[in-house]
Amino acid sequence: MAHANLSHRRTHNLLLISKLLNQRDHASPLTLVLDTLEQPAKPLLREYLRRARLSRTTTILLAFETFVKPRDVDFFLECHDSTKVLDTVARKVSEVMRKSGNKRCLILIDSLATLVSMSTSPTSNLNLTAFLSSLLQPPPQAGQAEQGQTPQISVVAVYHTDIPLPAPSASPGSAYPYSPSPFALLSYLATTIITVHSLYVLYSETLAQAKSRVAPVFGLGEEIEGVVIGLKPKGVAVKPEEQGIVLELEHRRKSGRGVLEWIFLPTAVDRHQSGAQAVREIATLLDDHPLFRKSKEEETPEQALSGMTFELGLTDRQRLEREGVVLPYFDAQKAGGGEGGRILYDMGVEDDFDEEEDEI
Amino acid sequence: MPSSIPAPLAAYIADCLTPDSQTLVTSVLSTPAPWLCLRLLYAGLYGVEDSARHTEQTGHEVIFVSLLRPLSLWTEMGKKMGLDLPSLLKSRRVRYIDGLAGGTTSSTMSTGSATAESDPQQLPTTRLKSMALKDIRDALDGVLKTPSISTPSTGSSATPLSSSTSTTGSARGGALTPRIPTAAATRSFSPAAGRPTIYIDGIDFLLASQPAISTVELQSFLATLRSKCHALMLACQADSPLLHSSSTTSPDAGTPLERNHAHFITSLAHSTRWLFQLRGLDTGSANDISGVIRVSRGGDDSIEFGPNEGQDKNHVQDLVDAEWLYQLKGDGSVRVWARGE
Repeated sequence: MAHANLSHRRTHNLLLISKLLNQRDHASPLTLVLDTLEQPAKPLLREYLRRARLSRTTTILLAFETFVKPRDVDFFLECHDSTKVLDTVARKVSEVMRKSGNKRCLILIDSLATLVSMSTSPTSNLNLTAFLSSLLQPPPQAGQAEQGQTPQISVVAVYHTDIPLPAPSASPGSAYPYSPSPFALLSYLATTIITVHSLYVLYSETLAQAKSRVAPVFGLGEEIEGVVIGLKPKGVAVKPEEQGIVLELEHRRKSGRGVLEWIFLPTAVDRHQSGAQAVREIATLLDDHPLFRKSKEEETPEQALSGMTFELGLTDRQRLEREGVVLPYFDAQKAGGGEGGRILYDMGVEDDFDEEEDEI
Repeated sequence: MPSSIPAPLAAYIADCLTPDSQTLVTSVLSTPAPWLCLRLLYAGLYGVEDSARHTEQTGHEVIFVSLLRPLSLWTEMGKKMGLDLPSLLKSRRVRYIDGLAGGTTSSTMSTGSATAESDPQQLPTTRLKSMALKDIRDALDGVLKTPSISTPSTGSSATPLSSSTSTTGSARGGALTPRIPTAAATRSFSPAAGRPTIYIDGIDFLLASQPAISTVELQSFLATLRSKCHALMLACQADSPLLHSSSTTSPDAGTPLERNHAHFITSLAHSTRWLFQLRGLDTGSANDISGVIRVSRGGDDSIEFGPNEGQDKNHVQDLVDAEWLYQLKGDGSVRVWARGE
């Protein structure tokens, strides 16, 4: 079924991912990017930055684990010393936004791990929801109140799903025993969740599935002592322009309807191109990637029924003859079909007309 | 030419020495990591051979923090591979913070190298007052603040010192000695190379031994440290109970140590450029194999993410994750080879 409406998905969902990555029309105020050590989210962040530069959006990077200022970032806020971060970062962000004077603003958080572990410790007094909404809705400033417009701010935050929560520093459970885990909270808050997958891991899973084998696991999932990051298979030969990352997209529309899609984002793009080349959408559906493309024969019903011992299909001649058969009442409809609910019946010789019986 | 740094690892180790990078060495109980730490140290001091790109970057001074292992072990292992730690300590090219000599309140930064001639007990090391995070931070800040060896007087004294290194080295292990004096002679202490490289062995021991330290505090300590130094190299344990228990079971399971350690290691791996993972053979032990070393790219790809992408791209592209077997020999050398070679 998924293959049948491929062209429909190609049109709509590619428009959607392009809108999301470009942050057009304020499509997603809070995007949560989930990644693991097997495929870090840095290439996706780079793509966000590249597109933000093209659309002249001001970018702010809250750097919790980045130490070198990336190329396309306008403002680089170091948040390494987490003890000082909390009270200052929201203020700094609004300062920076005032300075830039740009109405469109993209805030990137390169790792939520520090914030999340602080939010679980009772001593730090951090409310994750309040912190994120303070980023999204900065206190109104005098100049903007006069103009009556608020800046359009989007937050893209990376959450490393393979980092377990640290043990609470106080006695366990005493903090907020009834509150949800930070990850659950974040996934409820987010308007878009993008899970980043490694192309090679997915491909080896597909290969295993095709042979009905258990899918291999990589890295921490292997549970081999001493293995933190998995070794990707080397046998996969892909052209450089077909290398990239796979995004599992979940977008919640304002209507409440969710959109799920698997997107392939090439990473080996020449970033120095400009003009129409740079604006062109490079993301494709995962089903259109050469490694994951399903062959046409696989999908047609003839192929699916090929293993049977009897013939269900039709030959060409049979099909032609079937089409030539005129079903009853076709000519009757032509004759008097438009006259309402009249019963058309021609009496045969075997019919015995009985007025009492047939008068209902 | 036999080098103390195994040829397959050389390119990776060289890449670990680029500015603002962080390297993580993980090991398990059966495959300890000091041999690799010392080779990283060696590369930080003298550079990696056959790599002209990094020759100008060598000459960083090194701050070496050892929280689990004694100086005598490092000295002995270093001697075997041509790394003369005592003389490096005396010349202040390596500065050593001793986590095992705690308890004594005397912080000896004995600058008089004349007093410490051959007695390893009197080498200029810095002792920690305690294993509390504050004391470690103070000790490191103190070492970072003290003037480095880039003054002309000590620069001239470095030349006879390196010759003494070569004599002791040639007395011990033949072929790898000639490169030490040449590397030391061509090196010039440029002011640009001012920030030191910091090695911390057993940083995860802090989490276990000091329950008062939270993971957030420790991480922000390391992050501030990283912004002050040229490159940061950390060695941690990645044994199964410390890595997996909390990730598989329900979020509330696991002891605080297990959960904190797993949190700490995975967070570090996400901010690390290269991860050296040592482990035993999956199939059991063998006489001629000490273990498996896997080099993986961590979560920090600041080369591509960062500003200097254009010039380094070609260099980085050909470095992919890989895995080798290694064998430590009795003479301190190490052989690294791929499976089936």
